[in-house]
Amino acid sequence: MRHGMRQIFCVALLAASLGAQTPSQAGVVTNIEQLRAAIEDNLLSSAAMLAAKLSDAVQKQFDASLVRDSALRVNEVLTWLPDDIESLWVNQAPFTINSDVSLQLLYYRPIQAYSVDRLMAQNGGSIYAKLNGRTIRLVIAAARKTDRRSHTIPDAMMATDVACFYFFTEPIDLPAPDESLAGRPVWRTTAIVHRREFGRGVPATREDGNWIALARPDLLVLANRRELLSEILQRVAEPPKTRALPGDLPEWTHVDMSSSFWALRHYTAQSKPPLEWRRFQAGGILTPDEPSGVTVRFDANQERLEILYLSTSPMIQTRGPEDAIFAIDQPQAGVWRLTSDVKKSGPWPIQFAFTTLGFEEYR
Amino acid sequence: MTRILALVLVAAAALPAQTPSKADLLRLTDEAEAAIREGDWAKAAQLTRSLRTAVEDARNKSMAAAGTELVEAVLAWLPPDTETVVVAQQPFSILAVDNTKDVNALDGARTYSVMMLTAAEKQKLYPSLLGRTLRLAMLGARRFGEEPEETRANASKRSELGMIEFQACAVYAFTEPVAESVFGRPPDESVMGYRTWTSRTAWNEKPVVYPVSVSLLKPDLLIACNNREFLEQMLTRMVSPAQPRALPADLPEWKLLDRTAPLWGITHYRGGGHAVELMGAGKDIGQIGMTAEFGVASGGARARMLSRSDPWKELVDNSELAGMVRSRKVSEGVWEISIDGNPQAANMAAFGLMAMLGFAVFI
Repeated sequence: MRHGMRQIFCVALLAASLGAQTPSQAGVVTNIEQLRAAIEDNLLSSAAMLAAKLSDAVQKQFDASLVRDSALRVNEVLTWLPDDIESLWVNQAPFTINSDVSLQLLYYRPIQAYSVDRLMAQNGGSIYAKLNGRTIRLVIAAARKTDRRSHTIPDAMMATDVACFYFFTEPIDLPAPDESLAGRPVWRTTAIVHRREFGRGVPATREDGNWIALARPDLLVLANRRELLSEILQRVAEPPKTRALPGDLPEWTHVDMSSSFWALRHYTAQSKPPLEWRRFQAGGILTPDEPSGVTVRFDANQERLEILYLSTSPMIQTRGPEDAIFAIDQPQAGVWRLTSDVKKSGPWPIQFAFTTLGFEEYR
Repeated sequence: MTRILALVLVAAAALPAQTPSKADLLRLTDEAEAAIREGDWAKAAQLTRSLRTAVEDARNKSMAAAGTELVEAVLAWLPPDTETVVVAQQPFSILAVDNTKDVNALDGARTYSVMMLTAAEKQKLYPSLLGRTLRLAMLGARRFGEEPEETRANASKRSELGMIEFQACAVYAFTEPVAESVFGRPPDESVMGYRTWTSRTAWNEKPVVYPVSVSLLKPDLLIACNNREFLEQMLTRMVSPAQPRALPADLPEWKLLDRTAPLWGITHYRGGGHAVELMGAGKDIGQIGMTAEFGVASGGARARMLSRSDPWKELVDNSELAGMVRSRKVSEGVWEISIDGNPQAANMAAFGLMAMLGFAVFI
């Protein structure tokens, strides 16, 4: 009887407090009540399952709390980036660096792999190892001068100017810097990369230089051009009136900033792949003629990828393995939509999305 | 804040030594709930992780004695020509495959322990058991590499690739009763009084199909076999225990095995057996038997082999595993290998050691 009274009291207390809680918080509290009841009744098998469910739910809430400011951070980064940036992606699924996990083991986590590939490769992995155990809550990457020739075939990303912003949950420590740019400590790093030229079987190996700056105590900026990093740091110091990818670009109306991963690209005349290249890639990949831009979003819970091409031209469609991977439709005039269930198809559609955005594998 | 952290640390440190009491679990639950209600998700995430570990530990300890008893019983049911036994005795949940999570050697080895369950009912039974918890999975196998009847009759179905041929029976004990409805159809027959479902199932991506039979021994106990004779031998010995038993207690391998490991395996090679093939022609090292333990030392693995010379040299010399694998001579004719618990080594630990226990996969 006492047990029953106590439970009724708990339920009443819970009901009274629910009004002030978010639905997800209420759901978590319900989980913990069920767990408490299972422990009290010595139902340890049920309790273990409920504890696992509770831990996962709370971790999701914690992850969400880490990126509550992501819209602000994205706006900030857009003002720091030069005006000629044409592509930007945002990974707002926090993860903790485990330097024991190689790039190969991240194969089924392609967004995380693309997020850390370049950082992981620097100085033979020593920078990444120093960051072991640190949590990155937000990664924002941007590119310009995208190499139109490499648009179609995934390859080491060499010609494009790239900058990656790593927002950590806490301030980070690194050894003494090599130099200073705009008052910020900067490290000159190198990575060994392999590039396979089209038509040549043996990949060429070369040393690729990069620069890493500690823009804020919890923010690392990695760029593959010193002048790009310098430009960014100048804009951090003195925010300009202009920004990259202005808000009136049509691509923004198709961006879903609530997705765990989202991206947009506004093609420039120089980077737009020529038609013959797009037709060449039609051996495997579908794109519309003359796209002006593209947006991408990935819902981690549903594992659903959506790519929107902004183009008034028809879609180049060919028969190929991708036919079964992407569903293609035209939700409105001037927009082609490719959707994929990544749970079924594996990571390839996400790799394709990165290529479409002008980002390729680093090594 | 400091007090709570101290409590968590004390709880975590105490877990391996003693089972947390109901009061400990309820106190952790209260702490977690308070953090959730305060919206302090960082603290809540930490507390619920500790709570999960503590509850699982309490569950595991509460089931340990019954598990040991059942292992002894099943050893007596296995026919005397059983060559390998694998025992997953730490309870674990049946979950959908999630390639995005880091795996350890224990996770990898568990997939071998449930292989009969995953194959049953044309691979449809396992998905219907998702979310349930196994308190014990015990697999016995024999006649490794022996060609099955089906390919003897039809040579076109032979395949050198995939998992080696063998006969096996596995016993699965659940924490809760399993309703017959999980089969989705009535039983095909009664074998020695036990309701039995048999289906012809594709096995390890080979062109041949095998009959896999599942019998419901008790509401929470299943047996699954890929050979009818093996099943009948098990059921007969279950009713009328007979001598000699499988892997008799006086085999020297038993002295090398730590049976408290979350998952362990033991094999006594039949005339050198498949291990000679695995190690390459002309490398007969005079192996007699082997033991393996998974989930030891932070998720790592350890194995010991009775043989004339070091069987682990090639693994230790593998550059991809540098620093993750160590071997030593324990005593005359006993060679030990220890494999780290990190994800990089996990695949090799499960794949390599299970192959040495008999379950070799040729790729």
